[in-house]
Amino acid sequence: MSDLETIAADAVKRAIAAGATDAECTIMEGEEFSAAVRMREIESLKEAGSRAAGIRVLVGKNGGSSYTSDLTPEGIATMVHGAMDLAKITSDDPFAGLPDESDLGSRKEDLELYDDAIEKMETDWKIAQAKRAEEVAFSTDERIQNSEGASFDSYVGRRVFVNSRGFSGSYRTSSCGLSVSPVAKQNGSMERDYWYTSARAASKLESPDEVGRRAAERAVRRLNPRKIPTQKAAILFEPRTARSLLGDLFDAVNGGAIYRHASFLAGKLGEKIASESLTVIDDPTLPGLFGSSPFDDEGVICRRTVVIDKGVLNSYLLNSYSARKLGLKTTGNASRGVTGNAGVGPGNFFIEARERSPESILKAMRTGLYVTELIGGDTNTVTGDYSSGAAGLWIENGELAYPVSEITIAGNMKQMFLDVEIGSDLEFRGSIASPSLLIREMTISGQ
Amino acid sequence: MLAGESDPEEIIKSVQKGLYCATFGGGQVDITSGNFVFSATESYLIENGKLTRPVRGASLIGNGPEALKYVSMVGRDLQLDEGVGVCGKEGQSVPVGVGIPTVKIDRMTVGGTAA
Repeated sequence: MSDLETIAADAVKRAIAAGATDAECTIMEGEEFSAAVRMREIESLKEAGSRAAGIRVLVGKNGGSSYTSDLTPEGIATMVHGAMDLAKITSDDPFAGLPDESDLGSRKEDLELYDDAIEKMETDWKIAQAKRAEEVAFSTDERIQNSEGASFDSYVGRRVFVNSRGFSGSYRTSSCGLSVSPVAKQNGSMERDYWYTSARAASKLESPDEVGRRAAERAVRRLNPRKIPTQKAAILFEPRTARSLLGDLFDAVNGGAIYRHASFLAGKLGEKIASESLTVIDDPTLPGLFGSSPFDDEGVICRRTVVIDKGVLNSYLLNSYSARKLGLKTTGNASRGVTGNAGVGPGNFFIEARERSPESILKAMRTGLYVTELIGGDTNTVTGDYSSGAAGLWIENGELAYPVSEITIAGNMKQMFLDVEIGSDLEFRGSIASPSLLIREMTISGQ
Repeated sequence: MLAGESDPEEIIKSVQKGLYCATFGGGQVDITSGNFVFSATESYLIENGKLTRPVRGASLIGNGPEALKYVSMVGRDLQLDEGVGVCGKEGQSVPVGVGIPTVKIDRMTVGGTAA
């Protein structure tokens, strides 16, 4: 048991001694580093350490929460008293409670969440990575003369959770990432794009040369965009933009939205809601990924959940509270910082890849829009209405023809996922991941 | 933006067909290209100089410097926004106030599902 687990266990014990019927304590500590360079010069270097504990107590059906960054016995005692005082004045919630003891647990296998190479990285090396990525962006194309900068970030941390039902667990995580945003300019047209790589292990990062080159190519191909007329058309989302659609889908299967009847998927369990080619999984047990963890943020063991199975809505994503509200079982998706009631968060939430490469989808669609950037999006989870500003490339004769911008794309998620084709190019750059997605018809507003 | 000389009612009356945006929700600006998107949370159709019916889910997209060229009328009703905004960077922040009178822009792309 780590020192932090002992502190968390002590906090829970103090709460029970003070009259709580149940208590749960989270402690997080971490060290983050960030190096930002712009136009070949270091713009900022940041190193920060943080440590905080949070407690949630239940006195019968009344809850109270408090947190502190003072982990001394006095600090913990003050935090516990604060939470107990709040529990006296909050109103009854018949659904309040900890998860069932049978749901608590932690995965035993190594999820590869921590890489000690990240702790050992030299500051000079990290700065050099950012400088190199920017330099390669400049040298990739002469139209790249300006840059919004490049940065290298790293993080190592630990999360500890203890509750009064006998759960005690802790795990370490690490991550690092490199990004660059070059600005391309030609004939008065100025466009920016970016590329990034991030991973839990240092060896999984793409090289700075790769990051710089891809960012530059993306910025340059957006130069001198055309406007296109308002029309209905097929739209191909590259993985980076498809992710945001999947993020909207996550909001719609989030147990919190379901029990509030604030999702277009509420009450649709067991129904066909999407194309048969669409299978959506939440799997926090995949090794080495950003959404992986041995237990969720209320001590429930993590597991794989099939959310949409060949087009049929199979499961919502739930923490113990939303599960109780809905008369279902938690799926181990509790998520929170150190304090307060847990919300619902994704593990690794992704669309299963299919056979077709994005190139072959593009060829077959003949005409349409290839979306590479979404801005100012606005999705209504209640109705499924989707609209967003977009930029990308127009497809003609099955090939990328010219850049387009100043358009909005719109549709309804209910229809969009029924009429979708899925690519083979699934890759994980965060906890939500999607291969390329073709939506056969959406409305484009342009000239 | 400084106030102009037009009565806001006159501005609405001058529009044959257009959109009156009362409140914006989310939005985003790409400061490199100047492109912007804003979604109107409260907007009305203008037909023959009158507000006729509310419009759901309209979003505006355009290019900042380009859109300014099409400003044809500016109202005399300048007022600062009632809320206090805060702009921040690198852990520092300053309170900011913004204000603009009623403005007529002759052309802009309005997005939605009805093509």
